[in-house]
Amino acid sequence: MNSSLRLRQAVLAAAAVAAGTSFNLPQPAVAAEKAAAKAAGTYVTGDFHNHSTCSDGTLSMQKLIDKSVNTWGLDWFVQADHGGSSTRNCTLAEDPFTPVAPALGLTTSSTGPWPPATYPSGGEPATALKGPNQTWESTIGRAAIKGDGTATPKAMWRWQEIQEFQYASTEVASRTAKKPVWLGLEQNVPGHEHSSTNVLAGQLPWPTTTGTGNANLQAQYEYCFDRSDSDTSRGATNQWDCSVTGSSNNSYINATAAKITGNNSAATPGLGHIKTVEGIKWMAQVAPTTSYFIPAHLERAGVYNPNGSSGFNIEHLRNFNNAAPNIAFGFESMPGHGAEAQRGSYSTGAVGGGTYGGTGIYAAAVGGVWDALLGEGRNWWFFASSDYHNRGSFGPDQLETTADFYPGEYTRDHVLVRKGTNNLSAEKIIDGLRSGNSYVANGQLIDRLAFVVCATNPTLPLAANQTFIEKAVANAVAANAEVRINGCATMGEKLVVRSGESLFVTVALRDPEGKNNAPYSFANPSLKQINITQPLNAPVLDHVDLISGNVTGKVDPTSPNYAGLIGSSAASNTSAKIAKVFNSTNWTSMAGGVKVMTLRIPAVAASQFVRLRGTNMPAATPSETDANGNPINDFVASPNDQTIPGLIPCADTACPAHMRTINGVKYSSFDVAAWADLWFYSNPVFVEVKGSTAIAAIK
Amino acid sequence: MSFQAVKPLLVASCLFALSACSDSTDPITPTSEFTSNLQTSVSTASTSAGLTSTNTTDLIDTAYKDSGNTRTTQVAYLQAEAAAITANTDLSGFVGYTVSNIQITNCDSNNVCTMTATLTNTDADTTTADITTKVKQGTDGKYRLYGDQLSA
Repeated sequence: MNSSLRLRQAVLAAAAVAAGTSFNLPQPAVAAEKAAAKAAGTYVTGDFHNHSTCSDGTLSMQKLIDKSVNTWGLDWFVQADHGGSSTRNCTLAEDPFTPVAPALGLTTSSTGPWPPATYPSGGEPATALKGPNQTWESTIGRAAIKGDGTATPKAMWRWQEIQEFQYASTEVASRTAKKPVWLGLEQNVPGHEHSSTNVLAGQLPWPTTTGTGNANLQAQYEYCFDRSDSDTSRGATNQWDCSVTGSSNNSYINATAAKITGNNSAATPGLGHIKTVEGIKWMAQVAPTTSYFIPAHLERAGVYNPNGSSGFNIEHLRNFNNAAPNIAFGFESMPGHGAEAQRGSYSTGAVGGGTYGGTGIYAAAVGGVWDALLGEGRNWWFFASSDYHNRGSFGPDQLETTADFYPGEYTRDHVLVRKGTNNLSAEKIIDGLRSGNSYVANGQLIDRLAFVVCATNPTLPLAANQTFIEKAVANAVAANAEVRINGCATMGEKLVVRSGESLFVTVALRDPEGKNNAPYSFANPSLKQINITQPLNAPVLDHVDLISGNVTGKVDPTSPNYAGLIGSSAASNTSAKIAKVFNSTNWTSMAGGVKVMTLRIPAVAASQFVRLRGTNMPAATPSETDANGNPINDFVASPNDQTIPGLIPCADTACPAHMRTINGVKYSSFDVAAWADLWFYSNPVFVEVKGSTAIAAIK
Repeated sequence: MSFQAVKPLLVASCLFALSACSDSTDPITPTSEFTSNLQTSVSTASTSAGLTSTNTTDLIDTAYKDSGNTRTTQVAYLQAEAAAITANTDLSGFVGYTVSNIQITNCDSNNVCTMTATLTNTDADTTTADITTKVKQGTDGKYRLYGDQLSA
């Protein structure tokens, strides 16, 4: 058998192989944990995918972390640069670092010259030979750069950066900020594009205040499994071994490098994907509760290519989750780069041909890839990131951007962390990410959410039950916490009931009053199309879609429905639908912007999931939403080709100068387009009906 | 607990629900009995025996209608719930309550009254909610749950 054929067969069997050697097998079916067993938790905000000059960002780590946890107030932050190698010493802060100039709030962008010539791309005056763009070679000397790299200036392997330089800076930054800040990696994924990954074990961010931790395992993961790390030195003196105990795929390992050195190619189709699955299994082996693998902007690079490193198809997500469900438990289908002309940095070559209200089609399409995975009862959660690199035409301290938003400025992951009376910790945050008890909101559209499915107590009339459950979710929102009541399940959990059970799906959320972080107070141009005048920096939640779909069980890797592209039966859940639209006509408004809403399921008959999404865009908003309220491809309103006029004029006199302007007409674009079109997504609640499909993977 | 020990409590309960008491000096008032029966029904709802007890089913008025559920369908629902509890040990169950502050007021000419009460759950965090529902006093003098009288 030639090696190519052998590899093809290996890829087809990847899931089976993975399953055979998987770690952290799904837990037995049990109902949502008893309420009393749940430590008290609170939702906290964070971001796990952003870049500094350790890879292809423009800021030092210190400044990026400062922006994230201080300026924009995130509760936690994972610094995750790409793997491979880097020439720049990202641990050197900008000079001057603080106070920064120009300060937040300056609006020089409207005065020109355009782009402002005053501020260099680094954003701040830089003293010669200082700042994060200095090379490693110029700051520590070539001889101190390890590994087998030979370029000039010599690039440092990222594993060395992580292990010897970046970790120490991160630990200091975390303890200074008194918030959990630690190191991850946006892996250049073998056989695919990118993934947000983390191996926390060894790191000692705040609240640890004494002792010195290390990122040895994070560094080893980078060496072993990053596609761009071509070092073969085994991490120099580390002498790492990248094998996975008991894995038959160890046969692909290069003896010198002690890792799989190949990738997807015509000669070795699918080898990269196998290497990636091995990496997930390795995480599960060395750090089963403190690691994760979350594919990033996974539609961006197009469909999977066995001969290259493109995107992810649904079968790859299934393979990852099968290999280690405690490690590969979700995706970033809402990408960063929200202010780019091509929103999300997607192009027409992305799966789906662009983003939809800022979200990739895998999650944006009802009945699509995400719903197909949830329809299997998989623990597959929705996340987002800011993917900060730079501010485009603007300096890093200006509020306008034609590229990226800072972590916490626009997109936030809200994660329930069961910390009890203890300080927030990285371990508990990862537990929260893994639990699925989380949601994502853009533009501070909502900042509190309690979402439950409860079985009604039959000894009392339904209205009494509803009153009580609505009070419970309102209390939870007030406390920024979850509902802990037996007979109710929340996001990431399942409710186990008999067929015919009467259920309430109840939601409370907060549409915060006042202004969000947008620097613009002129009328939202998207809403202006339908004669709604609403300040761009004071968005109002228009409606919430309750989306449901049946759960019919895991698809076997040998099934023809295991692999396929969007639209195929493998990547669809035809039972998924918008089951209910909540809006001002059927929700109860309370003080402080809190809305409470309920759908009754009179007699549940089949196992299913319910999830939420909401937006400030009414249904049928031209170029934004269709008649059913589904988001429209963002390139419709803001075409991929910048020479083509947009479809949504930005006619207000306050519309900034950096808008796409053709024949003197400004069109909503860049950051304005992003601030105009806001969405939130919740993770699902599952309902397992006895006699219907068991949902074993969900607690 | 002896009747003499219970008596002051029943009197207090009746006085609290004064408008519903036909004779505030009588400790065995319909309201007191209803209160006790409802509290027992709700507090034993997690058990198969409690769900199908005469006490629970007798609290459902013959003209009960609650979002489409009639007395017949509600009793059937209770029986199905009880059977499910017996057959499955891993059900999530349903929301449990204790009931307090029961008051019955505003009885109309058909003896349909408004019942208010406080539901409490202490599974982890303490949640309380004041509820309002309808009850009907039967010809036997007993109050029973009447539902919202809606067909769906």
